[in-house]
Amino acid sequence: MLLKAKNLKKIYGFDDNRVEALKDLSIEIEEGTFVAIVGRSGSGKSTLLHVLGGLVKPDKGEVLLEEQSLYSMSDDTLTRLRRRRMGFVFQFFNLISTQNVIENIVLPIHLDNGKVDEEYIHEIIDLLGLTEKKNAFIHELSGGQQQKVAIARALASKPAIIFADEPTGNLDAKSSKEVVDLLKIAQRQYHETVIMVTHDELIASVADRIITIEDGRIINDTKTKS
Amino acid sequence: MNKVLYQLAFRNVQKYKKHYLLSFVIIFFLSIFFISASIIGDNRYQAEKEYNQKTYGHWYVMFGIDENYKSMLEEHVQAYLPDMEYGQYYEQGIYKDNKIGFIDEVGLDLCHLQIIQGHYPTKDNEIMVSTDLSQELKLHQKVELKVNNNVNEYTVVGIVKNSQKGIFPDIYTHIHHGYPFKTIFDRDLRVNNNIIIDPNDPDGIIPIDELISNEYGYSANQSVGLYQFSVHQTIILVEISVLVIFILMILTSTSLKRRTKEFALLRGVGMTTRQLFLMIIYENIIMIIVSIICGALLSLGISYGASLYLQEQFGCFVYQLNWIKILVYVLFLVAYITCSMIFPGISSAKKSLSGAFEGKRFQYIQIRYRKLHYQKKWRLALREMRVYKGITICLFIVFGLCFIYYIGSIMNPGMQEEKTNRFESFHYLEYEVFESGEKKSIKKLNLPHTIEFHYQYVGSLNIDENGQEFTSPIQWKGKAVGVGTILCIDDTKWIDQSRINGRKPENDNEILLGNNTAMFYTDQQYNEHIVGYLSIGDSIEIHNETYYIVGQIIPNETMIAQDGIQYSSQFLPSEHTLYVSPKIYKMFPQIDDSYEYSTLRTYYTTDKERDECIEKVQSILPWVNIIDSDEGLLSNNVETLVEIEPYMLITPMAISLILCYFLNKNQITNNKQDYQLYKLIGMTNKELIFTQFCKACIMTLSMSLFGMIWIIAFYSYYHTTTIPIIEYLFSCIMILVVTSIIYCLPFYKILKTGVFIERME
Repeated sequence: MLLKAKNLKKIYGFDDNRVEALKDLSIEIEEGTFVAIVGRSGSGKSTLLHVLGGLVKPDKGEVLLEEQSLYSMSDDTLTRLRRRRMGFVFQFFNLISTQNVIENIVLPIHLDNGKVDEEYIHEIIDLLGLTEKKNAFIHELSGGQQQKVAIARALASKPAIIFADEPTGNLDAKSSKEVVDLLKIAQRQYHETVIMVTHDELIASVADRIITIEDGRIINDTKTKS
Repeated sequence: MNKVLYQLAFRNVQKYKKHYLLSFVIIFFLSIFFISASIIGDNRYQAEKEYNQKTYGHWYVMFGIDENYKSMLEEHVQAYLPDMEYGQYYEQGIYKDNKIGFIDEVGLDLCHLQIIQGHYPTKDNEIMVSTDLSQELKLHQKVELKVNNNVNEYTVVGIVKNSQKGIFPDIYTHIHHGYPFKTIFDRDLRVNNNIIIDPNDPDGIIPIDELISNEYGYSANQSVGLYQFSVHQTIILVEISVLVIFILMILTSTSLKRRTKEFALLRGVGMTTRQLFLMIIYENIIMIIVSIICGALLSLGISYGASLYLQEQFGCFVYQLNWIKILVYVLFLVAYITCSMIFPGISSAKKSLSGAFEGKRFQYIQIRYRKLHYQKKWRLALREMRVYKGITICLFIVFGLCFIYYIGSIMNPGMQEEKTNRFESFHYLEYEVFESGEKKSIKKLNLPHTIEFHYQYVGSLNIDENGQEFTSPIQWKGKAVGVGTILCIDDTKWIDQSRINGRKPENDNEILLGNNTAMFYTDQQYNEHIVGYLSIGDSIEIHNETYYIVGQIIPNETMIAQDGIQYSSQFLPSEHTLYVSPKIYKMFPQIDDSYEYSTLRTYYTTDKERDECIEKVQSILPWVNIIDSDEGLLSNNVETLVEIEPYMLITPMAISLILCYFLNKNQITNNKQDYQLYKLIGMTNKELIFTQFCKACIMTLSMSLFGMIWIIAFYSYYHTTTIPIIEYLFSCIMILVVTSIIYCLPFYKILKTGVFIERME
């Protein structure tokens, strides 16, 4: 099992304003699967993704990535693990606007003091159709292209798992389809595990597994034929 | 790795230049202030020094004395002041408006009259001339001069650099006599305008005239002024530095909070907290270095302009740049400003992840605010004040200091007097009269501001004129105690001239304290034992009646310009003294002259007034010695000369308030989302502004409480009867007005732009 989460609990606020975003939630993700987490606004799906990705510490429970407990690590170790084994695609604020496309893509590798595998990076860029734009700055790209760069960046460090938080939330239908297809290609071609949060059931339908969340609990967990 | 961080930092500075602009401007002006103050200060000192040396030479004091006293003075100096260097100067005549005179070589050396050509005259027919006169009288030229009324021919053998035309001769002879005789001393040995050779001998006083103190070396005010200037400058720099650090911290913090999501992304893609912190620090260092370099370059220009101005003032152009000092200043600025960025940097780096992703709790916040809507606006205001505590703390400090200073200055009248008397010359004539008839005669002259002091010694056990023992009427803890000197306040004029801690007596039951006033008792062997020291708030009993000590006179000392700063005796018998009303004074047995003393003093303001007084007194009592204390400055010591002037407090406070206004504006703009939510849950604009007003009210209430505590503390310590209710209320109203402006006005302005609504759409 690539990723395991046990009895996750996350509470925001206190006293009268206390809101339980995750209620004793457990989940297991197998390697190489494409998982879609769906649910209504405020259901806790983004919180779950952030907790699984080591971005938000749960109040209770633990998350194991490749048998390593994320929240028992030091902050620096977790960060290093995140930049080596995880990739992220967010809805907004996906890219560093002061960096061009190629710089954005290789940023996690540079931060890790790693050596850039030029051939692999160019392969990804070609795959995502960004060859002509590789030296462009972020403001010169469309929303769809920006998300493609985010996917490329997520793939750059050859992570074990990619977390995508509403990657199509800000895109038109055509671009949304392209982005989801690319995630699917990444899963297949590079044997990546993808966890995607979306509220769009059509988008979710490309996933191998669809998990539905409501009020911080999993109410449905279905494997699809795709 | 660092290269990536540098690159990111550099590009971020370019991207967020608007965020950095205000910080840039503040640091830019701060560096201009620091560096130009340093350069201008140094150059001014040099220019002034050059000017003074050119004009007055090195320091000395020169005065004329009667030829008869010459040997007496020499004996005195040899006996008591063997290290004192002194030279002699005779005036011997005039040649075409140029003075002729003799100055011995020690005198020439003391006055920095350098021989630049030729040699010192060794024969009676040889002379030296000044550089000015050397245009007319060349070296080796012969000239006929009338010296000491004898006309002879003299040969020019030397040229002397005369920097003090009009004070020293232009023609120097080798003839050792003339009139008047003057001595030039390397230090000041006079007391007022006399030299006291033997204080116990009435003839031991040498009158002096034509006193010249070198303005460069002898300006005590200049020394004190320089000291004050440097201390004032330090106070201002420290104030500004603290203020700037505080402002920069808030600005940086606010600016970084706006970028939480960007930082969260960087953390998300694998940037460690340390890397993020370093990136933030690099950004700030880039901005700091650029602004300091710009500031330093402009400082060079400003100080050059200042040097041109100083040239007009002092006649010499000095533009010296102490690069090491400038570099030290620059490094200091870089270091300490960078330090101010560390806390916000660390805070942002640490909170970036949780701040951004937990910020996704928009929905939950909505629920929270929906609940808050039903709470009182006061509670919302209080919460906001707690959340944005930077502004709250800043306002609290500013208003707290205002309260302390304003109310304190009203409740302590001594402070007011101190302000008016400080740095003013304190002129008076004191008559050495001992007969009561002489005193009466002087009093009858109706001289302006003439005061008689009565004081007597009070021990715990005394002996009266008949040889009988009697005990002190002062009781303390059931024991008769002595206090040293009791001085009668029969004229409040000198109290008005004095500096008082606490307050003046307002009735006969209140007394003032001198410095170190101890109570002691005397045993049968007439040994005195100290039983305690009195302080403000203590009470003593005299004939079973209680008297309260309400204030303490700070010793006034005469500051006399000497080599450095020295102090002579005190004006008043301030040490070990109680200052009492005439009613209390009469309770003490006035025994005889060995116990009771009195002195007569006339305060004057102008030289004309002084001369008139002297003339009047001498016309009736020509033998009376009159001591003119015209050099006195009211001061306790050098440290107390340096005080925080109101402008030093008011200026940073005003700046702080203005900055608080802009910071609040900034904060409101940054937290538009919160106000958008408030509106979303149905709060009207009026209610929102009222919430801001509630903040102003809370601040006013807390400050008024603080002020009340301060007044009570002041009252209990000084027993002052002045309770400044009107001033207190006025202060509270002013705080309400100012805080309302700071809180409500920017909010109203932003509200008017409709930005909250735009965001909602």
